[in-house]
Formats: sequence, structure tokens, C-alpha cells
Amino acid sequence: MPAPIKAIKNVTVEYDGEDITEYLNQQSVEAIVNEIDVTNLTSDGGEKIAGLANWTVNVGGLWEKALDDVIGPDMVTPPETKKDLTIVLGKVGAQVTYEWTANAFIGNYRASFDNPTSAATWTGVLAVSGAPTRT
Amino acid sequence: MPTPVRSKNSRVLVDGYEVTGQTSGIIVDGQVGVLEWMVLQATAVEKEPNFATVVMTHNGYFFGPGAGNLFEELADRIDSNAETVVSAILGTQYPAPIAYVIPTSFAQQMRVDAPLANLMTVNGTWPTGTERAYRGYVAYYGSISATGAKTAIDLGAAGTAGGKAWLHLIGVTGTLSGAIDVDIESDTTNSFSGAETVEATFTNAARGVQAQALSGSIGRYARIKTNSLGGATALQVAVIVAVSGVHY
Repeated sequence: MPAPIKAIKNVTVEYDGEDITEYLNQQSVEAIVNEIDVTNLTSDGGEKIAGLANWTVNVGGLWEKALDDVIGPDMVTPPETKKDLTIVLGKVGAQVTYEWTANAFIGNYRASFDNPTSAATWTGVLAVSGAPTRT
Repeated sequence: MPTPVRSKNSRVLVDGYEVTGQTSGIIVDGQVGVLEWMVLQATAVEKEPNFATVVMTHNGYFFGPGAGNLFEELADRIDSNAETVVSAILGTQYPAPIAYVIPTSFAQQMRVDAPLANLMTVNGTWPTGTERAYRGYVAYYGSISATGAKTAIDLGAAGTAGGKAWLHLIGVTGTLSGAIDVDIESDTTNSFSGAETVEATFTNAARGVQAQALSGSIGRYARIKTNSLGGATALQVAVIVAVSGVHY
């Protein structure tokens, strides 16, 4: 049985055509489908069907100027045209790619210079619109 | 290969004072409103960005009252609701550090903690006011003791839609007898051999901050050039240049 795939060296994230992977030490892709309650008087128990998926990408890591040059402008001035986002998870032979084309933007960006004894860090939420292409 | 940046490589300016030496941390937090919409036959929730707001969370130590002390600068503004220009300079080891500027901020919150077995601390927040927040590069930080130009910085790209600049005059050696005269110049190359353009002129007449609008095309390289120290022996300044379409 093959081992589960570790994150290090096996994830890449590109925002607006810029590879920001080296500035990441955490990343998650999340889809939450709302539940539609369809319980009725004949039900044997609570019944639900799936609603609409809501996707979010969370990122964070070590802050650098080059990272800020990619993320910062879109944070202070949200773009008129949304950006591309590509996330590759896994290693060759066991890889999945999620792509949002012109459907991503910065929802939150926090640069933390909050401890003089530590590295500067950042976290962000990449808001994504619609469903991704999964290949 | 990334080179991590230490948190200590940052500065905080509040109008005409630098409070870096009393600050233990600064967090720049930007929020963009996410407008969700859903339509029939959709496969997932659609989203559009709304406007942005920036809040700076400012933590430091209590040094008591006195102009230029973190406590005093927060407490004065809690009392007065005065509009304040707050700039966070990030990555001071770079030739042109990043600067986030909130031009019409105010002291939104202040807390002085007095733990029994530790140092007293001061915490505050600086939110976006009536004017949007900006992001730019630091064109110069340091002392000016003679007229003339300082080393130029690379803005990253040329601009075509103007921008904005600030000069925080955070220290004066000697006495200002009149206004200073400090230009921001830009050039398409880093030669500054006569084809440069004066984009703005700062004329601060006292400790404080002055903002200047930049218009039209801005060359990729920028520098400050001092024409007059206003009668002072030396000035301590931080000059920030933000180019529309490039930095924000």
C-alpha cells in the first residue's frame, strides 16, 4: 500500500501567473456544500440534500517583499478583472490540479511583524468564484 | 530560494513621530469585501470583490506620557479624534521597503495593560479613515544634512496614472526657520542625467507629515532631492512613493 503524500515539495500555488509556493508554509483548499433540509412528515429521520458548493483557499507563510508585490496591490485595490489561480496537489503519478481562470481575488491579507524575535509572516484568504476545473 | 524577513525589520510612523523604538509589533490587516451571488443552474457560489479596508494593530511598551511616546500618540488621538497619517514600513533590509499608509486614520482603540509580574504594554489599532489605504515603496529613510539628491530606488515599473507620496518629517536638528524644499524626481532609467521629472515638492515647515499627489506618467526610478533644509542643520525623514497601477 502506498504511503500518503506529504505536503513538502508536493504542492504548488500560482496566483495571477506568479508562483508563490516558496512563500507558503500552509495551504488548504476547502469546499463546503450547504445542506438543504428536506425533512417531511413521512421522514424516518432528518433528510438533507446537497446545495451549492462554496470554495475557499487559505494560504500563509513567511513574508517577503516579492510576495507582497504579488498580493499587496490586489489587497489595497481589488482588481476589476479577477485573477487566475492554479493549485497542484500531490506528486507525479498521483497529482490533482484545481484551476480557477479569471475567478480568484484576495479576500484577506495579513502581514504580521508582531514579534521582534521571529520571522515576519503572512496569511491570506484567496476568494474563488464558481467551481474549479479539476484535472 | 526565499530569504525570510525578521519582524524586527519594520518601522511605524505616526504623523511626525517614529514610534518604532516603543513598538513590539505591527500587523497590517487588509480585508476585501467578498460579495457572494448564486444563480440557477450554478455549480458553486460565485464571488466578486468589493472595496478594501486596512487596519493596523499596533503593540508596544508603556514609556509614560510625552510627545513621541506611543502611549501619548494614541491617547492624544483617542481624546481628539484627530486624523492621522500612519505608515508601516515592512522589510527595512530591502533598498526600497514596502510601506502601507493609512492617510486619514484615527486611534480606534487603546489599551494599557499593567500585569503584576511584567512590563506595562500599550496596544492600539489604526483603521482606514475617510481616505483609502495605500501601498508604496520607501524612497528614502534617514537623515538629510545637506542639499542634493539621494540614491534612487527602483519602483518596480513605470506608472501612467499618477499616485501619491508622503514625507514624514520625524526629526529636526537645529531650528526650522522656514519651509523645507524636498523634491521627488523620477526617471525612466536610473541615470538621472538631466531627463528626470520633478513629480512633487514637499514644503513641511514643522515636524509632521505632508502628502502630495503625483500625476500622469512616473518613471520607474525615483529619488529625493533636497533644495533647502528650511534653516535646520539636519532633517530626519521618511519619504514614501505610491504609484497607481504599480503599487496599489
